[in-house]
Amino acid sequence: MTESADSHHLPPKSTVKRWLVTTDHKDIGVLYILTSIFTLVLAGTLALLIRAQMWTSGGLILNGLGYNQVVSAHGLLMVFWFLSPFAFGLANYFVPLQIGADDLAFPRLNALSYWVYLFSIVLFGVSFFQGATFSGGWTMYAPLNVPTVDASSVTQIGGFAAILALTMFVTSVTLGSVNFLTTIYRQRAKGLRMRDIPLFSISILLTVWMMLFAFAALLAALVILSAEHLIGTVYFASDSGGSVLWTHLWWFFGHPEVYIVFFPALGLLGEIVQTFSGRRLVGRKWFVIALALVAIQSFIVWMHHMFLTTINLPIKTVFMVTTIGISLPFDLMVFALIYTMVKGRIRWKTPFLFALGALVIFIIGGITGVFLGAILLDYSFRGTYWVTAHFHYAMASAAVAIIGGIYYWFPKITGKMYNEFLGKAHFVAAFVGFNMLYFPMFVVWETPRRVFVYDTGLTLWHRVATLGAAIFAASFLLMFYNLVKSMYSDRDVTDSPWAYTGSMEWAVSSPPPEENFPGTPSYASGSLEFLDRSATDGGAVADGDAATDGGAVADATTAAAQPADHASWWPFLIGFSTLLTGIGLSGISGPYFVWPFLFTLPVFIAYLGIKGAQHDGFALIHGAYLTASFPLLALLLVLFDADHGFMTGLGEASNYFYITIVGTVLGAMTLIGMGYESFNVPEPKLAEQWPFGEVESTKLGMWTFIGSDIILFGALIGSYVFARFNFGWHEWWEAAEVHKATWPGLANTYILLASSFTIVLALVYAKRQDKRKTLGFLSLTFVGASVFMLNKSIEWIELFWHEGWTFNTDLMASTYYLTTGMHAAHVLVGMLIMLFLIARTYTGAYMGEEESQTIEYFGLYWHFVDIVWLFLFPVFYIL
Amino acid sequence: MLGPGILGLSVVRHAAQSRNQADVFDNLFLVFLVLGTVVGVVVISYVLYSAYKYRVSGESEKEGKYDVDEDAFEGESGGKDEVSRPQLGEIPSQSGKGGGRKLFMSFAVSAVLVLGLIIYAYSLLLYVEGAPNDFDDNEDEDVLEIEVTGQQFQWKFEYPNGESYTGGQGDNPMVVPADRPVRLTVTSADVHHNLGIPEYRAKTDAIPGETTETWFIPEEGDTSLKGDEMLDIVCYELCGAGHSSMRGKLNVTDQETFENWYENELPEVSG
Ligand code: HEM
Ligand SMILES: [Cu+2]
Ligand SMILES: [Cu+2]
Repeated sequence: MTESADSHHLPPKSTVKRWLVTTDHKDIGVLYILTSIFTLVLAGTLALLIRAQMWTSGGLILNGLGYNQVVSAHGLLMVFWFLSPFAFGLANYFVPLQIGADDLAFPRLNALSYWVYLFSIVLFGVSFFQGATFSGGWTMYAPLNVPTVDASSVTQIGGFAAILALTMFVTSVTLGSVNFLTTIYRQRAKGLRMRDIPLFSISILLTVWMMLFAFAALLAALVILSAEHLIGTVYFASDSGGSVLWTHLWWFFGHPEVYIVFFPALGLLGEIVQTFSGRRLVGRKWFVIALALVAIQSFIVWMHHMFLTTINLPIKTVFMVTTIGISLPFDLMVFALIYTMVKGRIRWKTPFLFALGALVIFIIGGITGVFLGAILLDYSFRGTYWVTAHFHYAMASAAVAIIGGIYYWFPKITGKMYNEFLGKAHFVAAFVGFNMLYFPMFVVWETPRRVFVYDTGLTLWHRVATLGAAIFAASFLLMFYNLVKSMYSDRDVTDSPWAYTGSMEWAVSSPPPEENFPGTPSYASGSLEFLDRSATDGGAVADGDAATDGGAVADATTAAAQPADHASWWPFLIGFSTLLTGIGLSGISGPYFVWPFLFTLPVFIAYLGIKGAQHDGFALIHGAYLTASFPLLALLLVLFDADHGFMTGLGEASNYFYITIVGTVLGAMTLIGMGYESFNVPEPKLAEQWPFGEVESTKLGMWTFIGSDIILFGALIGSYVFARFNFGWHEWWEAAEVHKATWPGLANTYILLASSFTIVLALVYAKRQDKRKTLGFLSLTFVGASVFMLNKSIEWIELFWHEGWTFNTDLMASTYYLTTGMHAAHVLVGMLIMLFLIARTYTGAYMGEEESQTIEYFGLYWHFVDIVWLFLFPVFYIL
Repeated sequence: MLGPGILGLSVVRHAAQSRNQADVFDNLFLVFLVLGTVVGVVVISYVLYSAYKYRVSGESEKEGKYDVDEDAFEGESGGKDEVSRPQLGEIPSQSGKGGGRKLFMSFAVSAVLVLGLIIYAYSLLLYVEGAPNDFDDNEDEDVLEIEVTGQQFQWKFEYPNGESYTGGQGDNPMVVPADRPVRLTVTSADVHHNLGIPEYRAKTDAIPGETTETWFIPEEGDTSLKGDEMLDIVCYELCGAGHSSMRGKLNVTDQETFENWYENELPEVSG
């Protein structure tokens, strides 16, 4: 973990270290693929348990709780932890290769996405051993998902651990979306317009756009749900629409999610059908337009999952229309794929067979989806095996297509050809097994879903399905054997082992060289050329991404000729710290919950001093940080003593409390470590960047991150409005057991506005290289934030302790504390980043036009935090 | 679009005569099933046929290539001019020549089909949603109103006279007389459930803090209170460990038996 430059070189692939430190997109792609296949096996085993249970009505092996756990974990793992990461393994590997980028825009962030993903699986795994894992279905309907309602002590800890694991996963996805968006917009080869990028990359682009917004809504739902567990808010158990609120939040996310898992597969189908038909995709333009349309429309169909709730007929009608409308672009895409095969030169290679199979399966999934869109049919299908069969045909079609993608690109990744016969055998077994498994579900559609008691007349069909499951599962053994064996064969391949390939990944060696291309790729002349690197390489930008995830901002030193860095320990370590924090929080008791975070603050400040001194040489500011951390710690200990009693408090705390502390402290230290690491990512001057040519990558990253944060707050405010509307808009505050004063909110509005002003001034002076004034205004911003927080604390203490208006007193209290609390958390994160910026500025960083950009990026975040307050103030203090 | 629409209207009338949701559903399901199967079979056959018809074979001699040789087809008909083949290194936005008209025709046809189906389905929906109001407007209809509350893991039935009882697993069925419309007002005392009576295709969510409605008209009442052949009341939303066995029963009797039960036995089980 030294900072010396050569520690950033990649160790050879045969070492374990290589795989822990790598930030190379190809390595990470491979890691994603392997990890997701591991999840496939895990979730597949659970599926076999489900089918074993269904062998006879009444069940064979599991009790009610056991079955519910298996059903829930199977769904969650397959949808979240298998399907998307499987596709994103390929995306990680091939999007840069297809668009001509050396790597993703923020390589360390990419590694961080992966490690958080990996450790979230570990956390999910742990949840099985904490009594019982989550057992309320993958849709996690409320209020069964909140601890006050599901009071069974068995599911408390494990159930919450699974929810936290999902929260980690959402974090990983959000970082990944920011990264892919920035990469695709900023790092295309010259001459490659947005509409020119290969189909797979286009599908990934649209997928990450959907992810950015949909997962933010899910994050809001999970934040509220976690608050129900940790501090006892009462959103979902409330009679004012709590249960329906969950369904809105879930499906607003959930419908786009089903397309999120399907889009990469559509892109792959396009690529594979095109290559193996030897014909360019018919109506490509319309195909792409249809994709984009569906991506947008996916956000306005969610209530088709709620036709039996309280929504009224006009709303149902609207959602029926949008739902049916959305099936039409799909229809067009399917026909485009079919007509591409016509007059093709079709070779029935394994990837093509899988693509063909996926297409056939998807046609069935789509047609049965139209059934569900007809409300009257949905009334009867809802909650039955019809739905199960429909979405397995749709989703597993995605899986089948991606498996085709694995065969398609296997020779590119490994440089070896798989065994064609075994590949075909795999396809036949998988296709037969799949249809044996799911087609009977249409026949026995009257069986209620997630229930193991059924009409005994249906037993035969259920048994056929179970046998099909066994065949489907076994077919994968063929694939594993084939691929592993082939890797060590002598069937070496050339750049393009397939005929009629088009995109750039086939123009480089198999496997691709570490730096991806033999020269800088360019399409400027109308077709692909690799230009001499030395002539085209531009300057360097630092991987200054950590600011977006609550950490510190990276070094922005420019070092023109410095080679790119590819290795860093920090992503792994940060990921590990989130695992510890997750395990800790799953079992921590309410009164202890804030303390690990509070105790981490002095550690953060002290470590900032230490690391800063190591990195920039000791300066007064570092000493000041170190010194300040001690009284802060002392103060916290006194408060802790007042809250719990020092010795009794520590004595009674569970192990979960201590695990959380270790996690948060490690998290703080590793974030600082990553912030201070010099990590060089060259950005080529020669790149197509429309429409963001003028926006630096980090800025674009910041913008997209803020975009997702807007949805987070939008969903939180939306939840408040929904709850209040259900409760009665005007009675709301009268019914609250407290009378809240307006002036603290008003005062805070002024303070925050002023701090937005001072941060702008800091930037202005940084550009003019006036260090003292920059430092002054940064500090002033920090002071403003501190006053805001102080004012807020006084208000909260007044309400919470003196008035006794606690988190669970009423719905007003829950929404008020949680929404403004999330905002306060954003302010706090901003303050921590400011401490970092102040220390760096003190030792001379950020001066000048280029270097000051880091302050600008932070300013964006800060303005955003202010604007959020401008919404919260009227909503919670005036209306 | 017009065709299915008119077809739809006539079926509405037909369905309206038979009155029950189950008949409406059966009609609609049949239409969807037939059309869905036809479309599915046609499209899938066409896919497979095309994939079969246009397949080529041969392996390239080149070392490390595991596919046909592009050059081998040089000059063959269906070559360069008619359709365009991908070429390594081209800008990937090139689209296949031809096929556009066919694409739009197929799209248009399927769009019309889908829209027609939906208009038809929608007209039936209006009937099903409107039926409870019709009962209210119609003087002769004497609707039986039952309030049902889901609770882990059974159902509570409350009759108009205020008497109520819970029934699970076969004991204490909901009792209704034949040929009289029943309106269920459904809610939940704890978590999200979903009440369904598959026989009558009546289904609605049971949500804490909210009420939803559904209705059905029971058929073929019997003089006795039945044992085994009672109908199922199923929970269709995962509601906890006992969800799989959350089955209530529905007993359809004739009018007289019902009244007898209502006057005498209901007060006994109530509590
Ligand atoms: C062709 C257009 C499609 C239409 C019209 C459609 C329609 C619907 C409708 C109305 C439902 C709600 C059923 C219910 O719970 O009562 C549903 C469920 C579902 N659909 Fe689709 N769908 C389509 C395509 C897809 C695709 C492409 C996917 C994923 C790859 C998908 C995945 C799902 C899933 C996962 C559910 C069930 C969620 C749950 O309740 O657990 N659907 N679909
Ligand atoms: Cu949906
Ligand atoms: Cu249930």
